[in-house]
Amino acid sequence: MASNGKMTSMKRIMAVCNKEIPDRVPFLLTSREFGIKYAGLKYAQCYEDPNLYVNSQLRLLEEFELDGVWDIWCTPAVDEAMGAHMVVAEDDPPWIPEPYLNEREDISKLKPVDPRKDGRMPYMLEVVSRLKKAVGPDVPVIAWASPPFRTACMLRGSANLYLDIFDDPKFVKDLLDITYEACTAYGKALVDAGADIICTSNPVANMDCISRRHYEEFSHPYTKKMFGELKAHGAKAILYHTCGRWDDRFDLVCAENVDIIHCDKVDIKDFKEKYSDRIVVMGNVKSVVTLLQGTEEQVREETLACLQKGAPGGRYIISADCAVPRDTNPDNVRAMAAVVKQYRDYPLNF
Amino acid sequence: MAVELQEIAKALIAGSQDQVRQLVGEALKEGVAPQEILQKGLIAGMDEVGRRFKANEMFVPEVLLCARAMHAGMDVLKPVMVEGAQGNKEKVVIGTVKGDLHDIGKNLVIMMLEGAGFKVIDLGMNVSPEKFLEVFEAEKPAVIGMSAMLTTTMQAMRDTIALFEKQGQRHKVKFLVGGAPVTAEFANKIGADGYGADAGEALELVKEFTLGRSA
Repeated sequence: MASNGKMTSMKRIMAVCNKEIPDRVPFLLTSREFGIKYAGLKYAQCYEDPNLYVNSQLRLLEEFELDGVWDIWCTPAVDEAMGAHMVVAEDDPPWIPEPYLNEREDISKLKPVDPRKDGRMPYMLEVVSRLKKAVGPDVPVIAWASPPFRTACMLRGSANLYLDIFDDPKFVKDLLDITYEACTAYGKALVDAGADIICTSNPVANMDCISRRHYEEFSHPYTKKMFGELKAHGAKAILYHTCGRWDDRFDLVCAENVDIIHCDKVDIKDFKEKYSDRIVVMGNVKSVVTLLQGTEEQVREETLACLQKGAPGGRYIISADCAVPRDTNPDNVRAMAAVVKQYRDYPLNF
Repeated sequence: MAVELQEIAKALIAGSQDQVRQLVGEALKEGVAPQEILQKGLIAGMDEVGRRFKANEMFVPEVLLCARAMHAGMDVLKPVMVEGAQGNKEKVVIGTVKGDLHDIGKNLVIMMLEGAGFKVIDLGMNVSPEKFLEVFEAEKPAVIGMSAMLTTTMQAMRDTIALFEKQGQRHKVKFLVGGAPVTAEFANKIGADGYGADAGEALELVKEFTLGRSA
């Protein structure tokens, strides 16, 4: 699937990762839920038939001239494979309703995972494989893998794990060793299935939740090692979505073998001045306030403002600041895509 | 040597439940009034915790630790406190809205409110508009707090307020909303009385809403 520009989507994204100026500003939208609704589908249907989901992504790729497709959303894939009970809702992403490790002793219940056999993982890999076959080598497939700290929090319950940090730090590290193995195994399987970019998010490890000191001790080393392994295994890039406030630890994220940081609460221009020697920034048209709740005019204004701040000098991917909400008016996404198309070409002409 | 009530606050801020339990017990033995221990020891400690949390000097794990210490102290105090002397008796009903199973933020708000002496009725997660109404009618709280983490579920906040309007109960209670995708603009649009960006702001708003009401 060739793009209309001089570069393919894959080359365009790799160019910004390699500190080169691409032919135009890459455009990505985390669009799983929105794409499913846009195709007239429900989540549960996409968990039954991978082709329905693949086609929903292909439609967005074509209509909005995006530079990548995303796997179906299943944050607890590893948790389920390790033994936790996962609920698949009619029209929402799956979740784990109860912590699996109610007591610290329950750690012995955790099973090593085989991504090709356990839980929902084989289905996830099938979706990624079909996406890759559909888009070919020129368009990146982006697939999500949980960082070890997040999976540990989900299995134990975040509040329990936060207290374990004080009560029994050895338990926390033992659990992180286990989730590191499982998350890395799943990430490698995603790469084997055809994922070009591994994305992640870690909302339980931001400044709204834990201190930098705890992040350095319990999240950073595990994520750094996992992403290093995934890149050695063939992942072309790592994309880290930072939910919430990360101001005091962006430097640590940059040092975690991450190539692209997907930010919400930052000024793109300021962020680039501080970090663009180390990392590509992606974002950050406000997905709720502007895309979901705003007018087309507000979407146009904010998209242009983001391009003006982010695009000069490259190292930038235009996007929303988080996932495009399911119920977003497609006209707002069209308005964003139209502004991107008008101003995306290098050399820039605002 | 008499127990200094600020030592209780200090032990609470340090997150030491054993020390808080011990100091509260000693203060009681020395004849200090339970209400005084509560106000100048436990609540004073949690006020400082709230300040440090807002200033990014403390984070969720530390606040959880302090809240656990506060509860340890309360467990010692409660049996000897006369009815009506357990601090501010204003009730706050709180829950994560229908379809949503996130509760870290909600629980943090609960800790701050309890730390400030409010009586909190936690409805847990996945709370329907009908459930909020049912509990409101039974408990008559001054404030209802609603939390949502998802763009899809935040719409349930609107449905809840609309149900209260329909039943003629809206004017009897203040609605406070919060959660990652929620904004002040959204809160305003759905007719909520306030939006708390974090647990500290939520506490300030509840204090503001209940100011001057009979405790």
